[in-house]
Amino acid sequence: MHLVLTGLSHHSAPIEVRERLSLAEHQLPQALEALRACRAVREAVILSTCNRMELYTVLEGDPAQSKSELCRALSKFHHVPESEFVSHLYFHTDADCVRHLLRVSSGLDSLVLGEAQILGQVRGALRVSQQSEAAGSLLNGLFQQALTTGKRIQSETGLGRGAFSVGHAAVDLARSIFDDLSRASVLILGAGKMSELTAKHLRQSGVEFVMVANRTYEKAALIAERLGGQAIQYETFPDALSRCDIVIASTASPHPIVRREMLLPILRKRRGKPLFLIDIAVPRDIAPDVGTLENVFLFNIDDLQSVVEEQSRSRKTEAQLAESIVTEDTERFLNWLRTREATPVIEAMQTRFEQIRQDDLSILRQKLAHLSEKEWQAIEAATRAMMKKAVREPILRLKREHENQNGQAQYDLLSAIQELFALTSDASETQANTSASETTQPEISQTADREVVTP
Amino acid sequence: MISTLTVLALLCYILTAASYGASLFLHAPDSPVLPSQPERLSKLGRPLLFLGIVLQIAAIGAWCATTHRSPFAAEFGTLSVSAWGIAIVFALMDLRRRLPALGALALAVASLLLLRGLLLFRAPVTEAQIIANRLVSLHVLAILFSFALFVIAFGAALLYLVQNHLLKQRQVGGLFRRLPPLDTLDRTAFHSVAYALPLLTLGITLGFVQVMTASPKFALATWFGDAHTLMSLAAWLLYIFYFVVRLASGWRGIRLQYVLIFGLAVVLSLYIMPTSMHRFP
Repeated sequence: MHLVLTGLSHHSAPIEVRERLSLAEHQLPQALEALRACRAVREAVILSTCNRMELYTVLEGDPAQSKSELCRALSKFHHVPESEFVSHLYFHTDADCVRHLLRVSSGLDSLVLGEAQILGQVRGALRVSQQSEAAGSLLNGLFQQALTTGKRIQSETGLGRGAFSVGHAAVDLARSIFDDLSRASVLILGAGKMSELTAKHLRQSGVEFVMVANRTYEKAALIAERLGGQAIQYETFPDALSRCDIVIASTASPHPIVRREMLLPILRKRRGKPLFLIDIAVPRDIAPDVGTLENVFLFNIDDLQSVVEEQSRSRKTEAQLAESIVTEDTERFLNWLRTREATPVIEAMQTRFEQIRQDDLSILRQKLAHLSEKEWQAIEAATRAMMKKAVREPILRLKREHENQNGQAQYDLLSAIQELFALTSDASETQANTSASETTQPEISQTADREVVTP
Repeated sequence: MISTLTVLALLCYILTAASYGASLFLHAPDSPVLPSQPERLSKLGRPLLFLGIVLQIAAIGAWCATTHRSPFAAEFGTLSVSAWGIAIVFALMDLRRRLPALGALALAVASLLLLRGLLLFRAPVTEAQIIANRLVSLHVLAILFSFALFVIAFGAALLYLVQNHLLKQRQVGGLFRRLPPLDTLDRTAFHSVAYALPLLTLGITLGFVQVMTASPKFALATWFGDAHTLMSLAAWLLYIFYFVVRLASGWRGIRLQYVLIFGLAVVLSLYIMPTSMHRFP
């Protein structure tokens, strides 16, 4: 069994290709069904976002041979000739596949480094696959690990913090002035797209009251309606300045419309209450000397851009830490995977020894019928301890070898144990049972393994 | 044992201040040092703070049991209770809302006071009977707790000025991102003064009652003849001014923060003020 990723993203394919292969959520069950119709596919999860379309599969047999089958399935499902997308596809197998998904869920592979939205999309992909019964124990384990890693990186690094756009930067700055944005009110000056977008970000962050002023009242009313706010006459905006906390200015005026002398009496009315001015107009709507006034915080478009750039630089530093977490968690998952392969052999070995013990004890019971129940209990305990001691070392070594990165060595030891103890058929049965009943969380499975391994 | 317990409490406070402080700088995205679990680092602070408080209770209790005197009979005890008051006030605040930046400042002040107290550990204990008076103990305790709250208000005001400066300079990376919003700092300072003022009023009133009881004829002359007392009144008036302006007129912003900075300077000057009534042997 191999974990195989087949996909394309903004790194490998232009939008024209990505949009032809993208899948809406309602198409996913059908697509999963089409994938599972492929001979080699045992499990499948499809992660489809605006920037990527990735098929995570568990394949039986040689993954190289199955790749063409997957490409054919993709082509057939989307009615797109293979030649149009195959050169944009990337393939990752086993450890590379694990590492890739962990990087994706952490936002390290995203267009905007560190964005957190992808974590929800990974969760959604797994959910759809579970509902379609396309995700088995292996992909469940892998995706759970990816979610854990994504959350870990969010909490332990600053990768997801800071502003991703001018709108985010404005919200971020507003939060450093006002602790409760729901009590802050916003005034939009002008009907620019950018100011509307910024106001939208603020609304989403809790701002409840928005006023819009524009020379054309109808335009102001339209924006106010979209934002759930209130349009005011342009001439009355100086009055509104004394009532609002955040001003977003983006008019087409060739001269500043908010000047120092206009603000001075307004600031007296405000009695030291902070005023956050966001000037995203070019030429500027707010005179630069307004920023020197007490309790007034003025940020123009360049200031906001530099906030975004600075925080993007910071995120790049944080990405190094995130990469090391991804490496650590990839190794953790691969260890789980290796131990998972050894579990059936370990269980078969324990069952075999237990069977021998039980058989010999029943013969002994017939021969030593005069012994008391207490004496039998002592014999039971002694034989059980003997058995545990006998299997302890082989199990520990087997587990250690499986955690070892040298893949060749582990399979040799596994085969050797199966051969020496004649466990081939027992192990296959146990493997079948394990696969059927395996839990999805690597952590849970590791615990289960520990119970098995520790004699 | 008393000094050992106090040294341990001092260590706890220093480590708390350090952990809160480190979490501010290590967590800053453009810090040259890569963040190494800064969230966990700041979480270390709280148990250490509570341990320090408990150790100090034990130390002060042991001191009282050994000397059979009120802690205010010596400079060590008074400074120790001052530090303890700051730690308690901040701990209560921290339970409600985590403000590591404020914790770093408040615990640094508490550590300095406790260190000064430790340096005066061997200083003589006053034999004056007046110190045994419960009214006097309550008077000192009320004033020390109001002082603790003024330290918190001072810390919040100082952070407000820092945050305001960073915003004005558009230095919005690093430390800026770990400081609380201006609104939070303004409100914290105001609430601290709102709690401190009744305590200071109570403390001053109890002091006056004590003087009246001890020498009713010369009470006013004694009271107003003491520079320490006059300075206390000045501090009280200053904070009343802040409170009225902030509450009644709704004024906010940086000017009021300067009042709080100056206010603590006035309160601290009480410590060095020459006085006939408030002195240690």
